[in-house]
Amino acid sequence: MIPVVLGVTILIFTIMYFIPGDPVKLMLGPDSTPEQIEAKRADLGLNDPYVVRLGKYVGGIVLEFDFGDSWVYNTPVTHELLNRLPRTLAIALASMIIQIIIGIPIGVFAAVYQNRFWDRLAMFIALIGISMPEFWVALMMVLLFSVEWGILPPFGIGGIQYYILPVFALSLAGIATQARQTRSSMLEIIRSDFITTARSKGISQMRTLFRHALPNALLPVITVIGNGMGRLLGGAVVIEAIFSIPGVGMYMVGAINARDYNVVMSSVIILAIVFALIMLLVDLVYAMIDPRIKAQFAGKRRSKNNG
Amino acid sequence: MKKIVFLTPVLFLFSIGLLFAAGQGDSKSAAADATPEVVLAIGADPGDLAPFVGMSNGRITVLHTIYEYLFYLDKAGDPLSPYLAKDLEKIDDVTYHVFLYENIYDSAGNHITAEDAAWSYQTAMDMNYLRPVGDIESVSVVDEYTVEFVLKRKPLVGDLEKVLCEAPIVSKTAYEASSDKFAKNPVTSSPYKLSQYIPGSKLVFERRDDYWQKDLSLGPKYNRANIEKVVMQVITEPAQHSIALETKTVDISAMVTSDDVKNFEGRDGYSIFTFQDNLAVILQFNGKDGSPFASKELRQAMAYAIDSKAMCQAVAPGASTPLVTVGNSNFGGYQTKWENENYYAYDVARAKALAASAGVTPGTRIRLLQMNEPRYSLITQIIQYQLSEIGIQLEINQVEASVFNELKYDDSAWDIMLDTVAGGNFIFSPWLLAFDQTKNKGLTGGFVLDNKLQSLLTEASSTFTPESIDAFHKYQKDMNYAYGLLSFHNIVVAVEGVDKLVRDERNQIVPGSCEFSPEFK
Amino acid sequence: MDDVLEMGRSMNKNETAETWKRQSQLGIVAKRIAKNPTALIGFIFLVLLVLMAVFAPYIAPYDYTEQNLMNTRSAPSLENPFGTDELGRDVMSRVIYGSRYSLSIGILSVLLGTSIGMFFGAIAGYFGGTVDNIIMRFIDILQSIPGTLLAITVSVVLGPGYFNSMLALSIGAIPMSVRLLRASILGIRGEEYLEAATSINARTHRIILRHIIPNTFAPILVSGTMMIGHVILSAAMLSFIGLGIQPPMPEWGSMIAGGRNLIRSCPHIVTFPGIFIMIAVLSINLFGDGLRDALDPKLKK
Repeated sequence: MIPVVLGVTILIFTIMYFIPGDPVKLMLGPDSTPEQIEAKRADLGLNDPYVVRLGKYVGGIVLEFDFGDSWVYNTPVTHELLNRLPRTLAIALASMIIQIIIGIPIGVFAAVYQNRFWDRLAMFIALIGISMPEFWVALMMVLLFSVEWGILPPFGIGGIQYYILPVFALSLAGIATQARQTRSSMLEIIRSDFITTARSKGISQMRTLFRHALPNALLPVITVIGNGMGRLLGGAVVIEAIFSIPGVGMYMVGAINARDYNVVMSSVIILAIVFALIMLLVDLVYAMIDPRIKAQFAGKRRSKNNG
Repeated sequence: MKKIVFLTPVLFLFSIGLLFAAGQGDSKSAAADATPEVVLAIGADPGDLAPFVGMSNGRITVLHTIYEYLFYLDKAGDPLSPYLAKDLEKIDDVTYHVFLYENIYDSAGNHITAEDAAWSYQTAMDMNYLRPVGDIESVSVVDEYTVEFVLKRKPLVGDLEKVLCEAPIVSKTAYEASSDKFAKNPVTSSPYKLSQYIPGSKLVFERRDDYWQKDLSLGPKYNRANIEKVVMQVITEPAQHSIALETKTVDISAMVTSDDVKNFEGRDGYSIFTFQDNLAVILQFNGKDGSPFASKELRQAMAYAIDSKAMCQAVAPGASTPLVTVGNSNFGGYQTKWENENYYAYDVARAKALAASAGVTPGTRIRLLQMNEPRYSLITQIIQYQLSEIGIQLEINQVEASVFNELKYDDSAWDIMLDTVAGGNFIFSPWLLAFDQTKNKGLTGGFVLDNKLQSLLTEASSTFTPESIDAFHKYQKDMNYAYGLLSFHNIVVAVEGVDKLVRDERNQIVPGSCEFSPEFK
Repeated sequence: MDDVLEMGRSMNKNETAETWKRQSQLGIVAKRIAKNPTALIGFIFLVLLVLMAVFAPYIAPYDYTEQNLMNTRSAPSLENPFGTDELGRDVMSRVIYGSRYSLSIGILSVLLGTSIGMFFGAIAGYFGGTVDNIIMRFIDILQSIPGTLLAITVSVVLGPGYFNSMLALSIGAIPMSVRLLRASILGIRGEEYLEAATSINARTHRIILRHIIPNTFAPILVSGTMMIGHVILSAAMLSFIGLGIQPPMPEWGSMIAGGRNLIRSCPHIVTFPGIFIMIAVLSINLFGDGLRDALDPKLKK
């Protein structure tokens, strides 16, 4: 976990190091004198060699959890990021839940009717969601729900109703991913020996499906959920910009337009850290419920106790 | 394995909780209270509200609601009018005394005196973001309500005005007591007090009952507090501005695209206000020796080949005006008679002839440099197409703003540059930006050395007589070192009940000072 | 995508030893896809789109740059079936030409990313040890940055443009192919035919090229196909942020991004490219799903 975060920080810093153009010139405007530019560069530490800058930046994050200051505004980035992160997380997590609630039943349904009309139709509908640009869908939803019907606020933050459109717009794409994964792991389980055994014992079709097949089929789905969080955190960038939700993503888009590269860099890194944490959590959950891994752990513990 | 079945609802509840938590923190004002409020949609977050830092798209919209200044200009070319200062005395060419009102108090009750004013300017000079204060040699306190400004040199027309309207005045005590140097929570003397700022989302201001200036007629038109509460809502997506107005989520927006404005024309419940922007979009030609545009004929050919009237129709129908000089009618000293002159009216045949006499063969490649901005992209795509009709192939190089500001001064990077000039209040301000040969290695923005142009420009900017202004305009127009394309209008859409808009010198709406009809909320 | 990885492993385990004949494999796959109506629909639409891209100049009624400033923003009509945009260009012609840019950016990015990934995957898998460790740790890092954000970061550095966007988007395709190829090589390292190849003094790169890569072809093809759709959407997202392909190139995503301010007044400018993106990505996904089912050895029974 720590090495990955460190690696991510170094990688992003290195990529951003090659930014063309002089951000200082832009900050000070076209009339600025070379002396002013030089002073500002020194002030921001831009004249230091790569290694020194990297060391300062990474050191700041790792030792003090300090992302430095915004280049355009003189405000500390860390504070801003932490203020905004809960909104981004809330949107991403809620979208994930929606994806699970809708995606998994579609997947089960499709698996049960494998290769029949209902399977094709269900997967087709799920795939439509993954086939549209998020910002296009978001705008269309605003037109429909806010302008035409006037039932949901078109943008901004406030009560929970403000999050309904963004969350749905964001979750659309992942539904298909969840459905796909559920369907294929269901198919695999349905064909496996123990389900055949269960069937042959005369257990009802429904019971076999939900009591035996589904729980096993969901195991691989959990890893997909982890990866899906990555897409959701990335997708939140666009969704927040459209719905004017002041999360990390909107902070980042604003910073891209303002060439506030420290903010861009720090936003990517903090989202990557969050992503890494989620993956860790997923691994833990996986270990918790996967009987094979559980057995392994139990075995270890036993042998430790003995030894 | 059943755990997973439990896990889903737990996660679900958790995220609903998060959503509520996120919602709760933000929705202090969501509960509909009866206080009358006006909501202004702004296009970018100010980010940093501190008084002496650099300008940004978000910041420019909030400045006059938050801060107060020594003087203000009613409109371009006017003399300074009193604001926090009641008077100005000229001691000699470079020394000026400014007299403050005695009863200025900020919202925290701090008395603002000459010491605060001098300190504000000194801090602005030290921080070096606000460019005009760089003209100041020193600033000092004469007595409790008098500040002395000494300039580095005798000011040109408009220079002193810029200096004295530039830096906000705040209380030193309050500023030093602030943990973040006013970045999020400034304390100022203005009639509104910032009560909530959610970065990236909104600013909420509440009216002060104890505003220091009792006779509002003495101050600028934007120190009125005509409504209890002012909300500035950040909306970065342009399409959402029109939707926000349609759904009555906001009351005023200056960011509605010209196409969407049509939806509000003649529609009940909305009014539209139109103003001209002071940004002029121009083409700067690279006139360096050896460059194709060292040829006057070719520069003229370009201008004839471009149909700026049709361009306005396409880029921003009803929301742009073709230019007739380098600069627009918003600037002081602009002469309306120029509009009746022929300013390279669209004429393909003539353009072809001129291009041919300049020795241009069909298929000639020309490089255009442009900043990466959607409206500018439309403009250059039109130019590209229109130039193809006279056999010139235009290669468009779209770059980020930072790169643009570097390449702008590189005489090998472009043949034509789509530039915008504004800055300052007088018609010669854009001219100085485009043609002044005293900066920039002694060349114009198009790398030209032309002594006649420079002497006419110096004459125009120092004497500022109609004759000197016209003389420069005529000469530049004929030489066509740069060609004025168009300027955009600011169109503001407001809901019914907003009777009169009040804007500051930077053309930004000051929402609390607008006039509202009694029925408005 | 993990299932694809899984499939790569199991395929090598189950199939490589059988040494199936390529032609017959192709035949089986084609038959299976033909039996799957949605995959077939996806395939047909995909072929149509590719044909549209190839023959764009013959199909499009106008040139995609041709402007008519007197006829801007007009609604769909007989002359302009999809209407015109803000510069009076025919939206239909732009959508037709746009297929060239959108499809090519999707295909080329994935090809580029996959090739880079396969190269490093081959190295990691073949040499193992420290080399493998370094490459795989790097891939771990690359994968712990959400793909969209990585593409944005690289685009910020490279700047907008067709080629730059393609580079930025190709990075997303790297980790998957590294893992696939590495897993395949690890899986077949001990296989007899490799031993046979080594015993007749075949060179290392030759072994990888001739034996290993053809064997990982199927799973990479599946994951690559699915990724093309994702890349097309990501390209649109980059345009939305102002980093993607720049006008006047009529890439669908940049058409939507550029016209989104007109969504209230002239929705046709945004709707048609949006529909075409949807059709393209949907067909790719349908075809990809069908392809996976058809190639999946577990479903062979």
